[in-house]
Amino acid sequence: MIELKELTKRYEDGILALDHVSYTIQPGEIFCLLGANGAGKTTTVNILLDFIQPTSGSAFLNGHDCNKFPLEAKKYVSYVSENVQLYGMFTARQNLRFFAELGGKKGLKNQDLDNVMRSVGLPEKALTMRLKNYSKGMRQKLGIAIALIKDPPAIIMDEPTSGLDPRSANEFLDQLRKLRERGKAILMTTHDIFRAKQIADRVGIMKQGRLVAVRKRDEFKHADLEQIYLREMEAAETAP
Amino acid sequence: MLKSIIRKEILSHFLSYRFSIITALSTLLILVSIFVMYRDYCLALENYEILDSTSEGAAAVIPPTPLSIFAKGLDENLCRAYAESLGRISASSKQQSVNDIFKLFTVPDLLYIIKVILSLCAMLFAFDMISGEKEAGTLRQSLSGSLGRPILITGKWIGGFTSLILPFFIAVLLGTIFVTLLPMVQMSVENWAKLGLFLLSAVIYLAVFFSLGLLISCLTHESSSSLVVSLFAWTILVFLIPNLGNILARQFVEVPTVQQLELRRRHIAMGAWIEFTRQGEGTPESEALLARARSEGDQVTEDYRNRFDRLVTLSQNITRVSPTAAFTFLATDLMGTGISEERRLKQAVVQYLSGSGDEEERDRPSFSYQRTSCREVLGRGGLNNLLILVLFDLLFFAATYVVFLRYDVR
Repeated sequence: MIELKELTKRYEDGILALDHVSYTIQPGEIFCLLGANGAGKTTTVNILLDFIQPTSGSAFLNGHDCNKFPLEAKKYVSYVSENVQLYGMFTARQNLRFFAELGGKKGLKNQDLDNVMRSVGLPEKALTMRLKNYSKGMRQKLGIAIALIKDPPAIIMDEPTSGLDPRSANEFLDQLRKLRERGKAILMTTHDIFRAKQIADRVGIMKQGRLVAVRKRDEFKHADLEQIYLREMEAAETAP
Repeated sequence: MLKSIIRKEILSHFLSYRFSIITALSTLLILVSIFVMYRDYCLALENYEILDSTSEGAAAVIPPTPLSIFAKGLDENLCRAYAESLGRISASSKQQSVNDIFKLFTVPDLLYIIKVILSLCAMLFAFDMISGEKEAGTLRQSLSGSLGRPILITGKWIGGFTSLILPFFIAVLLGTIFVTLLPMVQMSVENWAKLGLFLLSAVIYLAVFFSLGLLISCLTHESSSSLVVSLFAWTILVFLIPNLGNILARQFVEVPTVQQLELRRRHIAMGAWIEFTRQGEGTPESEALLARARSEGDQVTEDYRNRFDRLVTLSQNITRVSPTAAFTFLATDLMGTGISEERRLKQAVVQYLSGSGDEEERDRPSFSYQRTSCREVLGRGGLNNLLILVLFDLLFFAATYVVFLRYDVR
């Protein structure tokens, strides 16, 4: 479970990146955070991963405060970034083993690693290929494999479909659905309204550090999510 | 987790082109250096045998040490023939012609390779270990899990440094085996101990530069900036401070030149001689005059030596701000080719040549000299130099640790 309580972040230069943001992502739920550049999406991720400290408020992963007890909290999360960056000189298997060990999974056999990589749709020849020869789509799949092998209750994804071709993006969404079925609480930040509509159980719309709206799947399933998004953004602009 | 980090670091270094190039280069350099310095040692040994057989007890001359193959230091000075002439001790320069090329260029011994080339390699290994990973995004990926920063930085240090030291040890091991097979080299147990301690201090010295490189990597956010700052720091520590130390020390201690010293001595002697001829030979006053002139001359020489020693000591103390200087003093003292050894030898030579009194030169026992033992080196300031290096290690690693705990990985 991912939980944010009145999370606020004001940077040293005075910019208010997050303004009393609160929401909870339940197990088996995909929550897509939409917003323009500078809306506060990545700041939220950075606080959850303890890369920065909040000015006030708290963030929790599986009930553990991310900033007071970061190592404990991060046991329960995996992170998939916009560009899954791994070690280019290592093979996929070596990368997966390394990050699995960092996630506390030791003594895994090659077979175990290969099975996870196959399960995310990596072709057979890619398992022993060096990462520098991987395409972005393949790297994103390996990022999912890393998240899978750690098997945490929560997954944070920062613009994971950005730059993916349509086929790779669709394959990626298939993997997300599988993760949801396995009961993972997933926070995904994105600019991609189309993909958000396809996969999200709820969407949160952020503008200038504020969470201006949260819509459930029922509310946007048969509607134009882009229109909802633009309407909420406009409403936030005119709001006092 | 620490093991995983160490293993990953070693593997990533081993797979890099940088590692292959540095390993090949250092192995080649070390082996070539040992071969070249062995040839130099053989020539020095031949010269010693010629000097020793022709001096017939009139001069003090010592053989070169086989350890000069690793750190030549002042061995050419030490192996000159010292003789007494007109109440003064002078050093023959006959043996200085062993290899004049070394005077134009730096002596390519193991000490030089370690202090200049391998220290640079240490920084090249470390400069992008943090900033490079930040740029690549792998640092963010690693720290997104439950991996603590103290473990990460410690693992990186151990893994990276092991990758640096491993090829060095292999090259040194090959070089050492090569040395033991050489016919002219006879290494005593003491010499092996000295060599062992020299290699240990080399590891501590390289750790200083590795830690500094890692610190710079933590202070910067782009590997290109890390590289520039690392090269700048390396130049200051390896070249600038050791050379500036001597110039700076000269501002505080005034030492006359050898020509000025000679002029003063001659002036005293001339004054005494004029007075002597005026008073006439054999009178008690003239004898006292000669004794006074000799005493004055000796005092001038003594004053010069004291000032010179003060200058050398001050230069050493100033240049110790650089780990390169501390390592050079330690290494050359250990190998028996350093400043302390030269001072000690000169004292022994003075004692030998002036202490023989009216003995006939041919009746004088031949000069024997034992170079400083390992234990004596450590007792006479060697340990201080070693501690300075350890202090640099601790300082740079502690700073790296603290800076990395606050490093912005975004």
